[in-house]
Amino acid sequence: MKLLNKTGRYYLLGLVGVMLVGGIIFYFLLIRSLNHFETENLLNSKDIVIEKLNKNLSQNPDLMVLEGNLDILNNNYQGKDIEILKDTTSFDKRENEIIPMRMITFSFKNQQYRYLIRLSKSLIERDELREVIERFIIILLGLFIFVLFWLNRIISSSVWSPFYEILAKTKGFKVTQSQLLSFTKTNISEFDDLQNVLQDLTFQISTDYHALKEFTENASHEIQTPLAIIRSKLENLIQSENLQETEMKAIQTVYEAAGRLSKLNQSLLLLTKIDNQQFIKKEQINLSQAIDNQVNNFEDFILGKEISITKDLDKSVELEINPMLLDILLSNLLFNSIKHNLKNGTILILLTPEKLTIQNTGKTFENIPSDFFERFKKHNTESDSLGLGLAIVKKICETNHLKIDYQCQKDLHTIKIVF
Amino acid sequence: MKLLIIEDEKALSDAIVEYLTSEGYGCETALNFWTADEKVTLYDYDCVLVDISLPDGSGFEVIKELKKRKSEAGIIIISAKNSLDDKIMGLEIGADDYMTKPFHLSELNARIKSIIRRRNFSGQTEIVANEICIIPEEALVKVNHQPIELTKKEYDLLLYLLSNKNRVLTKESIAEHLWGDDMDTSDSFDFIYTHIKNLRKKITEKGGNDYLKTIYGMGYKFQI
Repeated sequence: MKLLNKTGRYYLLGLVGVMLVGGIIFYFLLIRSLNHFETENLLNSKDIVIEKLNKNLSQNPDLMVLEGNLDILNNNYQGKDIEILKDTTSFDKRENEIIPMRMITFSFKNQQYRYLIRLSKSLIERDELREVIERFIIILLGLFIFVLFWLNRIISSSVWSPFYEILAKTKGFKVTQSQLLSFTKTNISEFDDLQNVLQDLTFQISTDYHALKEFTENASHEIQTPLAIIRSKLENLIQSENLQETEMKAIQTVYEAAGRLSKLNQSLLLLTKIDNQQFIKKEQINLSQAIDNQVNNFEDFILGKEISITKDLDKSVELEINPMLLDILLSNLLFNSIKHNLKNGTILILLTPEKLTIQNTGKTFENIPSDFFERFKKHNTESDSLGLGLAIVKKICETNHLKIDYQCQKDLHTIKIVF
Repeated sequence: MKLLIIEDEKALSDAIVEYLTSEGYGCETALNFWTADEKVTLYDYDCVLVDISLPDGSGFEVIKELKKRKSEAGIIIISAKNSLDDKIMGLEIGADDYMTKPFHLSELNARIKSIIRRRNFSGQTEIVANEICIIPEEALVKVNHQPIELTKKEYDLLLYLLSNKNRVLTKESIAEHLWGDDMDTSDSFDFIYTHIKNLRKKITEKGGNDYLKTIYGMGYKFQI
């Protein structure tokens, strides 16, 4: 929900409440003063009647009052002196409805007669008044809603526009690119504060990121150089003619260990680089060609293990990806399918515009196949492989928005990459 | 053949010099940018190895200086950074090859030879070892003047062995040479052996001697 809609909703709720309560209070106040006014009116009429009766000394004088009805109930009243004010109802035949009335019954005596007089007045205005108030409140509420909606739109397009601009710019911020965020001043202190905070924050992130990147690269550089020294010295050493077999074996072990360390370092560096999205340059690459190249490169291994390989490749399928990453991806997958294959096994490579499937025969295993996408996860702990191959594959898929799935049914291992 | 090795790490520089000197090259070294700059302005070399990150300057500048002087020297970049950008940049300004540390000295040697061979238009481009002769331009191998049929990998292997004759080549370096840096090398040792066996067979079939020696546990050697 948008912020403005949310605040608008509260405003509206408050408004409806205020209008309702206000309307009710207004109504009752009005009724009270109306009551008072009507009673005054009746009493006024009574005074006029009395005045007229005092002047006109007939038995049934023709009396006129300004408002209400006048009935002379009795001109020879014998009872006590009374003056009763009360509310009652009467039935209006014409309108066919019950009408509320206010009535004053009083006795009066002039020189000749003693009257019992009833003055009554319809209170029908009260209902009408309520209706008017109701209608007024509804119209007012409608008007408020309209104005609120309209104001919201104006506010959102003018007052909030710097905010949306800030949001759009922040969304576009990429830590891999050295471009820093820059905003134009808004003259609204909250937004300016937000801009400053974001600027500082992204600057800090960017600096940290680059420092870390530099550190990783430098660290790898620092590791590679001593490794290079170890390996070249050993390479020179093994050229020596007078080495004993035990010495040779020791050198061999050190040499292999240095090699593994170097490979490990390179693989981890590769993962970091993919993570840091340092392989930005992408190209349209024909996949079937790339796969054929890799298969050719591993021909020896396929022949050596007497694996029969079946390819069904759609020649038109292209993928936009960094060429180096594609090579790493395909060679890792293909090499895995050869390495973990059985002698006389099979490999099936299927390429359709939707997905690439590589299926190979291999040992059955208990582990959940997707576990192998984790770093340093190996099927066989004695294996001298690094256990980073599939982690690299997964990382490449993630950064290129490809979906990868690994399934294992008995001795059939299937890896699918959905484009 | 005169080489200049520009590498700030003395131990590595020494190891390279040791290997290449015994290959018959005259090696000079520069441990920093200024020495390197001075040497390339004063002398001519057949091949220059350049480390990109030097303490007091960039190896790229040395390459630019060489190119400005219209030097004929082959240029190989040796860098600790396996960075595609650096590689593209290096090759664009005129380097012939790019190697990432740590590399095998035998691989370095093979690449230097290949570059010198390619530069040496007028001279001998064939590689001859007694009765075996390789003509790299045509990817052709002759034994006793009779051509032999080799697969691509067998050819690459023979060329690599011959470029480093009388040297022990480790299995790792052969595997990386044949299948690329990203290979998990240990899986490929059996296949190297198969290729060696096939090569041996094809050469001896045409009356060639068996120069391919197995150095137990370590690797192979073309001994002449």
